[in-house]
Amino acid sequence: MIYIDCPHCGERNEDEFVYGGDVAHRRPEDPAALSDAQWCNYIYTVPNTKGWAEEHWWHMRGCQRWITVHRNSVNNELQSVLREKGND
Amino acid sequence: MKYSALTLALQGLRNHRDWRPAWRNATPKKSYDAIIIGGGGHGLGAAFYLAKKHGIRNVAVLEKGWLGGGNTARNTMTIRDNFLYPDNARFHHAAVKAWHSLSTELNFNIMLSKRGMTTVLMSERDLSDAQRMVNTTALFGAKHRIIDLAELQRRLPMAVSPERLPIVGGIHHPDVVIARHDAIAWGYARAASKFGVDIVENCEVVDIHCDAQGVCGVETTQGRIATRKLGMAVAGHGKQVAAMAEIVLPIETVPLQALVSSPVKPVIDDVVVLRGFNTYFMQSDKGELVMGAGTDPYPSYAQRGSPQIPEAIIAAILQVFPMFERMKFMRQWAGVLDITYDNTPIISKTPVAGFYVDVAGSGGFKTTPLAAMMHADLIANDRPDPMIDAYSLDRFANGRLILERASYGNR
Repeated sequence: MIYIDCPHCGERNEDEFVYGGDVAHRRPEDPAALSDAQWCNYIYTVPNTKGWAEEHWWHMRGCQRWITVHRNSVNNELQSVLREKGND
Repeated sequence: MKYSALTLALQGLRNHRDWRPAWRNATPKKSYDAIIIGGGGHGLGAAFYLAKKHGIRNVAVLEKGWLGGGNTARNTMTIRDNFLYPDNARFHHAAVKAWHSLSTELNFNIMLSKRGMTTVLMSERDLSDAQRMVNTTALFGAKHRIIDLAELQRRLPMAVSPERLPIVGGIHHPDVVIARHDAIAWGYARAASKFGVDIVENCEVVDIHCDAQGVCGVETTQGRIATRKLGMAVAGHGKQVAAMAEIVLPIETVPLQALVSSPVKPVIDDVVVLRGFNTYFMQSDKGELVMGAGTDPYPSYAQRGSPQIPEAIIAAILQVFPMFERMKFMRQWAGVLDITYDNTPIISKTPVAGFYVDVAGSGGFKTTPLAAMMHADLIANDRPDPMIDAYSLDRFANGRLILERASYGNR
């Protein structure tokens, strides 16, 4: 069980949260300008980092706000849990 | 040494002093005609078929840990073919059949056991959905059949009565089998080793070398090894290994959990699927109840998983089978799966000439013999068999996805 210290609600079990993807996997600014290969790459290829990565999580069964969690995917250790801009 | 009842009896008379190791533990040579990365069922199988069917015997299997220590050791042994989409249905139906002759072919008892699978349906909607599944899979030869409440109760007499849960009927699928998961790695290793295949344990591939013609070798923890044909049969780290050849695979790594109870006397023959709960279980030959469900809700490389999943599995099973309430829960683990966007394997050539992949089986134990056969065929002939055309890496770019959740979500 991961305990996520939500900056709005305090420490809660992981099952209150929904994983929302790697922060580094950003939607391209101008999709129309991309080649098919680049668009395909955005759609189907996620960073899938082994080790530390910053991730979006949604506190679905709590404050319902998006937060940024710095997690190690090898052992599920957490380093920091931060508010997300526009979600405080 | 051929394994038989006679060999066993003779060894018994000699106090079992003459058993020899089942395969040679080789140190790698400077070069091979083909190298397989990954010493699990898929990788060892590919090496075996390269040697047996294609006459390519100067082959090495490189394994970073010990044989069959990855997902070959971590699955729940169920071999099924309840797939709906034509390419998947054909492949998995043939994959189940491919298991049947293996014990004889390998001269190694893989302990194949034809259990059959019974799915418990709990709503009229499930029932009509099941009817569609039965009709569709029949087109590809699978023998599913809807069973009524009376037959379901006969098959699973220990399930709660329909007065307590809205059980409306079930699906019976007689062709579902289970097999000893370790035995498949050991059997392939022994048979491949007999053909002269070098099996190298504790040998991690750390880099893949390429030149203008394509793959030219691998860098390992036991030195550099040259080859022009490289097959990858890695689970959980497919993305990292492919990246060494600058191939980006569209996969995400997610834990899939399983758990077992302490062993008891035989109580149940079938693999039981609780459709409404997305949970399944069966009793292994050792007597343990082996239980599983869907993948964990977020990607991770930790081979343990989150505790709310086993909790939900146990809760679901106890609702339908209250008699297991006092059973002791013995062990829980996770295997890390490489999963593609469409939950379907990639058995394919890659943009690097001479580099082939058999990855992202998403619960690929059930396809081990056929996938290994197809992978070997791909390596030997450098073109995919029509059976695996649909599993090519370029399906993501050309939009020919096989969007079927059945590979792990819809047992």
